[in-house]
Amino acid sequence: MKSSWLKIIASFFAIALIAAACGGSDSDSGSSDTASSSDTETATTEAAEEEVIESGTEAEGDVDTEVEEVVEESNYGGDLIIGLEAEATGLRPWEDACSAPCLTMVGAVFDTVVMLRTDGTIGPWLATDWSSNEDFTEWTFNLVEGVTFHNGKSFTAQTLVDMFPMQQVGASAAGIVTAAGLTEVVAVDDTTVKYVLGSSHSAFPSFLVQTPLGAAFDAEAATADFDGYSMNPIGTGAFMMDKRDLDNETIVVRNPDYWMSDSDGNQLPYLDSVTFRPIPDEGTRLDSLLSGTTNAMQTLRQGTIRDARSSKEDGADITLLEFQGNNVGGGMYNLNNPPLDDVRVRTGLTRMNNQEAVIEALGGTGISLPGTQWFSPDSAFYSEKVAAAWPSFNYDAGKGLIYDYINDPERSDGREVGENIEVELSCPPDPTLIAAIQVIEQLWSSTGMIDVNVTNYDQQTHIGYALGAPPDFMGSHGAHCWRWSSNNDPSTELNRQMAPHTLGVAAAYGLDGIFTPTNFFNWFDIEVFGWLVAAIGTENFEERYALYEMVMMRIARDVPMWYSGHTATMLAIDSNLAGVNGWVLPDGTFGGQGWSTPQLNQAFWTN
Amino acid sequence: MLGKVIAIRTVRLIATLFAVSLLTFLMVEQLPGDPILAILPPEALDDLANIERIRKELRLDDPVLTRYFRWVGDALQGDLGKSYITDQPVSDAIKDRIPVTMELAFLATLMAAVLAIPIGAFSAYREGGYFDRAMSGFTTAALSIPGFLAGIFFIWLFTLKFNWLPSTGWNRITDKGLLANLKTAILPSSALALAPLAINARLIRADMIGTLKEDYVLSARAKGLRDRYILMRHALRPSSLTAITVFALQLGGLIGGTVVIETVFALPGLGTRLISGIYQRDVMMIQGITLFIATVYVVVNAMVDVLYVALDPRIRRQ
Repeated sequence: MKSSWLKIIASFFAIALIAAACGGSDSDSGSSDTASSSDTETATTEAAEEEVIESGTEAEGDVDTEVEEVVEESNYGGDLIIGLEAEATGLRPWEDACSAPCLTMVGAVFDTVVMLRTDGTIGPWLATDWSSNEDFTEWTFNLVEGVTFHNGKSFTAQTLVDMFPMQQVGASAAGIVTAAGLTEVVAVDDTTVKYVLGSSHSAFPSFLVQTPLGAAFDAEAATADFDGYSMNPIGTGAFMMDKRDLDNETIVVRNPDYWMSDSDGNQLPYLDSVTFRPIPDEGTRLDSLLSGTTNAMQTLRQGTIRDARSSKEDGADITLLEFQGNNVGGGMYNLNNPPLDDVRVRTGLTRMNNQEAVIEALGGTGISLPGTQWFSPDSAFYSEKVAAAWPSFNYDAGKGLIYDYINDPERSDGREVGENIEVELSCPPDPTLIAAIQVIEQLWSSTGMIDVNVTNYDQQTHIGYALGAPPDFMGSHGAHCWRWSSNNDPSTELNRQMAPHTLGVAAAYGLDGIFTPTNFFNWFDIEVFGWLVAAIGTENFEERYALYEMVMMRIARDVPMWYSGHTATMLAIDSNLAGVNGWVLPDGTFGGQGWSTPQLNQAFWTN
Repeated sequence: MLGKVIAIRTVRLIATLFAVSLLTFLMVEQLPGDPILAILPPEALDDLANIERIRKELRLDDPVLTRYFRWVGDALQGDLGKSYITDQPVSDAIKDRIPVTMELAFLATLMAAVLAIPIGAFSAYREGGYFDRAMSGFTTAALSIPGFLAGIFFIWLFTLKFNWLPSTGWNRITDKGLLANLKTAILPSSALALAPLAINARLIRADMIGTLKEDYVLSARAKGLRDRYILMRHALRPSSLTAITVFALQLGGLIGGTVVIETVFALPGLGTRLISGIYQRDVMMIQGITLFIATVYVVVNAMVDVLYVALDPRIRRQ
């Protein structure tokens, strides 16, 4: 009797596991085995010669962005499965908000007019070359010939003209059209397009790197099926949409008519298909790679980078491609919220912020560089002068500044002399961010002069508090966790975020109508604004460098924000996979976003 | 009698769903921040005209009650609205995902039932013995371990250590067949089954211990009937009423309970969509899926109540 029951239970487990384990094998079909089975066509690429691009100054703990292209024999064929941190909300470049996971998918299906190089300059892609008039209000781009969309339609200058009306009202693109001052797109001939701006912008091509404005889509097809285009996007990219199963897998297959070839004339792409799998849990995503369920993964979390390094040290057969660009984390102060309107308080709080301890709490020690400005030491715009001027950790100096403020009879928060200041410190409820703000909270509270109110809200609420509501968009936040900057031209972010924060402020400085809700600090400095405008009125790098250095010096003086570390990101890939980083642009230079976004049109299996 | 029960349950069901829909709507409404901010990327916020255009398109300026009754009116006609973020109709999103969630819930319930009955029955039969004590320990552990932790453990064991099963992804039966589907379903549904399995096993054990002490069981033993026959025919059947009720309630509860497990295993079910909807402040998606889950739960509950009345003459008489 006893043994019968045990047999039944044991049999059930055994049958269930055997049935499951012996079932279909699609989940590992993207492994290198598949690649090796279809490598009958072999091509060699010599363009990707070994090269290491170095710029900026090395700093302790610096994690160099991986831009060297390993010389490997590239093979045609094979499938690739990538674990992404989230599902893309939509794949319409002009309409849908797109972050790193989405950009990975969009980059496979769409081509942009130009491409960012690893050194931050702009390189060719669908456009071969470009020029502007003297005052940078007209930009003329020459386009590659013979490019077709996945539906067979030709890509011409008229394509970009037809896209423009949709971009002007696109949820995602309209703001960029406004920021760029773009007023008209004109087809000069089939392969020449002219962008007309309402005001000078010497870095205008940097807007065409961004998918909302730069990705080429078929406007006619998009108009015919506006909603459906999100599920079945039609681009000119290396891969075509095959299957979109939301929250499960998106499969793109090789575009046989892709316009781009490698330097030996072998048509790209090499891979047969790419499957994107959203795997939100960081640990599961890494486990999926380590077990072979996926072949590659991306992460923006320092803790996951640390775990992946540890797995590699333990013998995992993976390659880690780490990126550390300009994007920098930290927080901002709302200058509309006393006592944060007083520079002594902001500087004092910043000086009491132990960056190294915060980075350690974030899990970024040895991974993430401490930030002192919007540019990482690898950026061409990085300034040693700014790094030296930044109010670095000095607890006693910070305490002294807070002491001065609370004993000032004219203190701005209306409290009695000697009374503590109150500061709301807020971060989204990510475990590492909570650990980081606990470090800051303890440092500030330990002065006995600061009542710190720690809050955690979900990401959207967190953003909503910083943004505020129309028509003023003032924000009700205090000290608020945030991130800034990208590897794109500084003007694309700085000009937007440092414009007047209300129409009243704009009017007071004679800048009627120039207003942004994304000046989250509510900090406006007319000199800074002038320097930023000057920086898009010249293309001379030295002049621009000097202007951005002045902006950063002013930020170091007025401290509307604090920095923790530059954002380290990573692509972890099967060690038999190559070509996903340091990809080659049509002019032979190296491209890269400085972000964990692979360019899949040159990826290949090495066996 | 049965008709009256059905009528009362239906009225209660409608009232409950109305309350759920109103509460869901108001709670989502009370979330701080503007839904427009979730739709637009930061760089798009500089264009105020664009913000106003989208606000008008979505009729967000209408009074709260106007929007609520419009939503309820549409929902009654099967239209749960369109996602603000993806533009996908909410009913389509539910239709795409419900097979995954239902399958997980069904498999978990099946596993819990198939394993709980013999475990519970045999534990009761050998009350205080080795098996009973071992199962008592197992059920305590199963109830103590959260499903997501069990899921992570299963991934470590069956994926990383043995490499038998994939850690993530979902093979749809319609695309890849039953075996491929089971390969992706077995780990998450096992993780999901642990708690109900433990509860059911304990419940059946307790019921069976009582039943085995009944006079008619002693009489059956005195007649020399085999133990297995007594357990299955005389002891288990009287306990099945409770078990059926619990299984049915668990099936309803598990549909909502898959949220965390779906996230851990990255499965394209309702839970994953609800979680991403919450993160994205996708108002229509949150409201639609919550209402759907609540409806399933309430309807299953009502059906169980009716079934109970239909099966048990004592309740009918009351």
